[in-house]
Amino acid sequence: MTRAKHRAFLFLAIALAMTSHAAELPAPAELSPVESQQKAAERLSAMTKFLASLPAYQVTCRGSYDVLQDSGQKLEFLEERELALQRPDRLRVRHRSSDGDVDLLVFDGKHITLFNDRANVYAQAPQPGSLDDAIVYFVRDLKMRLPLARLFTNRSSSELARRLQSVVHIERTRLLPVPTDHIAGRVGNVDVQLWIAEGDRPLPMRVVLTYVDEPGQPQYRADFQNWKTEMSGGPDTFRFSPPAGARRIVFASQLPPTRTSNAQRGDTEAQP
Amino acid sequence: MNSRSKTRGWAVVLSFIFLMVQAGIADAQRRGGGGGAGRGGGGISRQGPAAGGGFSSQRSRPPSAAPAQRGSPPASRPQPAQGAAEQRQAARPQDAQTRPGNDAQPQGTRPEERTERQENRQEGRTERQENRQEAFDDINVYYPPYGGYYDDDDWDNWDVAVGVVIGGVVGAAVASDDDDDDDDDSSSSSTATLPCNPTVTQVSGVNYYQCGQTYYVQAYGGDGPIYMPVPPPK
Repeated sequence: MTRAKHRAFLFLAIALAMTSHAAELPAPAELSPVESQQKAAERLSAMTKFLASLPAYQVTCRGSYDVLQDSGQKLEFLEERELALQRPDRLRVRHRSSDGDVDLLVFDGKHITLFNDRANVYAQAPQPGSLDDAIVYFVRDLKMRLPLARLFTNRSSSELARRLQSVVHIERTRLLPVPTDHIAGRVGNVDVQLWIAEGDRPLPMRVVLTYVDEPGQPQYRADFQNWKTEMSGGPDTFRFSPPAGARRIVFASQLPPTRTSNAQRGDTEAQP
Repeated sequence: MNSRSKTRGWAVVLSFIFLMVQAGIADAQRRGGGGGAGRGGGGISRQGPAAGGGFSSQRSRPPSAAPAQRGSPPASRPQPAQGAAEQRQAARPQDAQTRPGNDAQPQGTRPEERTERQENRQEGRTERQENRQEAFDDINVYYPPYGGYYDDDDWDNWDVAVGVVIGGVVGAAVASDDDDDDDDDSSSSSTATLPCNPTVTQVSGVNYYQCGQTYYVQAYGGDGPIYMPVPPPK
């Protein structure tokens, strides 16, 4: 009798678990190709517009990228960025690379400053206006590195829409911290995959970019974590004060071009 | 007897493992890995086209071949694509305002647009050469002028490949330098670490690092501080 009760309870528990699981993961209706494209375009547009509409946000991007070596071996390097953005013209990005180097980028509305803690040096340039202008200037004209920069601009929505060649909805997934729509498309000659949070806060949760025309088809990948859609830091968040002993240097793009340039990142200050 | 030979056997195995590990560490150190934080140790490159994380790429595929290879979008673009096209149309007037000479024509005019952009960028470079400011007394430095938002769609195709920063400009710019002035008489490369234990001279607040006949200053490259050859301080 007791055993029978136990069995009954066990069956009941299993049945309840299965029911709740089924309720949690409703089988998605099969989308037609047209619906799939429609949904993907809609989610992409919602995401870029939502990001552009936020007056401020903070997020951590854990990224990685492939580098094809001369030997033909493909290596993956990790990095992490803590990003704080406040419109119309403030940005702070603390970048940690997998070898321990830390760089701090600050747009304070007047200056663009980039600081490297290992070498204790910083470079500074006037900031040209808004956040969008400053980001473009930093990446294109100063030729500095800021992965996924386009996502942080106000105009990402119109830019991506204009350059989008195709986009489809792949699936819904719950394997990320929040339920997401996985969409895939092509922008220019880059294959783009995005995992966008479902619901009325369509934040990007993951992105994978594949450079299909480059040897080895390397990828850039990033997971977005700890989204905060308001600013929790004070005004000092976007202020840069050089640490003791920090030396100002120029951006390499400010110097006359050299005959050749094989430089990779320097890790130490010269020891006289 | 048995236990002794077992012990010997284990000792041989452990010694072998120890030696192999030591050899591995020595090899890693020899190759510059040093067990950790080395950058680009052992000839390993950390930079490539994907490092920039841009939504555009330096390498452009031939316009006709690409869609066939990778599967083009359906010929009759359904609803969402039309939506995207509408958005494109909506974006164009704004686009056109800031892009002189751009008639906002779609795909067909792509090559022309590219040529135009190339020309614009070339003009930009010339301006930059002219706009050099004497921020540091002895080194010609300038702030690259901001080229405007819609100078091109591929503004984020950062490619350190490492002509980096400078490499892409090197060919044309150095040639013109050679023709126009003699301020760049160095044939050395910029470098992550200096090739010698340098003599350091400070002039007008700028540290010059001298290796042989070559002077370097430290500058922020695309992915961190590097040393760049400059003319000697005056």
